[in-house]
Amino acid sequence: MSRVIVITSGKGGVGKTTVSANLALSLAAKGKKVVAVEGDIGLNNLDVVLGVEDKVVYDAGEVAMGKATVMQALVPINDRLSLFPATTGALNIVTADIFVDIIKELKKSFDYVLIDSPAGIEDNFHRAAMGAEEGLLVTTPHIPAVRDGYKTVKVLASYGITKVGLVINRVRGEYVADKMMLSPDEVAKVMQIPLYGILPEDDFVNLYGIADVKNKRSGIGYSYSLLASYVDGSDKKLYDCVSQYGGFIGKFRRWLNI
Amino acid sequence: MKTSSDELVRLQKVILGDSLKIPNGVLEVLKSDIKGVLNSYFELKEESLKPEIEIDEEGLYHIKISAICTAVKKVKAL
Ligand SMILES: Nc1ncnc2c1ncn2[C@@H]1O[C@H](COP(=O)(O)OP(=O)(O)O)[C@@H](O)[C@H]1O
Ligand SMILES: [Mg+2]
Repeated sequence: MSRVIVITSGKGGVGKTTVSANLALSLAAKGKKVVAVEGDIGLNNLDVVLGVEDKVVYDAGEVAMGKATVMQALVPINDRLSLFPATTGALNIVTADIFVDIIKELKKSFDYVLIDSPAGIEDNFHRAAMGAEEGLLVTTPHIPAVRDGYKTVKVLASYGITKVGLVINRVRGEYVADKMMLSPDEVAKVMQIPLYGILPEDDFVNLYGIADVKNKRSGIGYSYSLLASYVDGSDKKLYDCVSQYGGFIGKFRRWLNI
Repeated sequence: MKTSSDELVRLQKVILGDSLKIPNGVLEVLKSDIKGVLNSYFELKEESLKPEIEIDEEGLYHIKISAICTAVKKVKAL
């Protein structure tokens, strides 16, 4: 059965596009057929993060005008992952109704349709939410982001989207260990939605947008793999951002800065 | 230094504050009361009176009232 998940947040800049791209890659690596949809129409950058901005032939606007089919607009990323690009033209061409039809069409060919959406308080959110069945709420462990995230959960519910998982991004394990930053559990308790994933702060992601899965010392690749397993239900393990910084060995490692 | 437990308390307060809606009716009654008071001093412009109530991170209510008047009434002092 195919699933349509909107990836959203209360505030912009917390990592929706990054999570959309990397979760899509991780689900595909697990053998799922995935399409990442640029739902943040107008402010497109999913194509850039996935490195295919120059491979877009037809965009959502041309599909809306009937100049291309949904399948023609797909940009292949790898064997199992494709991108459905945003419109580069006039925004109002892709109405919510047309967007819903596009999603329905994509559902026929993919296990996962991930919609990278604008923040819940923005205008274009309506269109992205209309097409979705489930949600992933991305937040950082900071008060303003959590606060608006909480509101967005209510907005999602008003669209009938009640199956919503929480993803906490840019967690600094050392600060959580030192009790200087809200822990993922604390954030989840306040938000009152189930915690699906914990993603650490990572310099490579900051620079390149994509997690370096080959680097075993960086927890980010593993954390995304765990998130993908959580989403597809094969494993319910959460990434442990703290233990490497706790105890004597952790303190010693931090002192050595490794 | 900031601690996560302080942060948690602040977070819980803002979320509580966001969900603590002031009943619609209260704002309307407040508006007509304030209008009554201001009307005896100013010629208020129609529909210009706007009371706003917000809750801050400490859980305190901030009440702001703004209005536009076209003239000041002559108030007789005794
Ligand atoms: N785990 C992370 N570690 C470091 N930087 C990150 C992480 N996740 C996202 N970022 C960075 O944060 C910025 C905003 O992310 P983005 O996905 O564009 O947010 P949004 O789509 O919510 O506006 C980007 O520069 C991105 O590289
Ligand atoms: Mg984005």
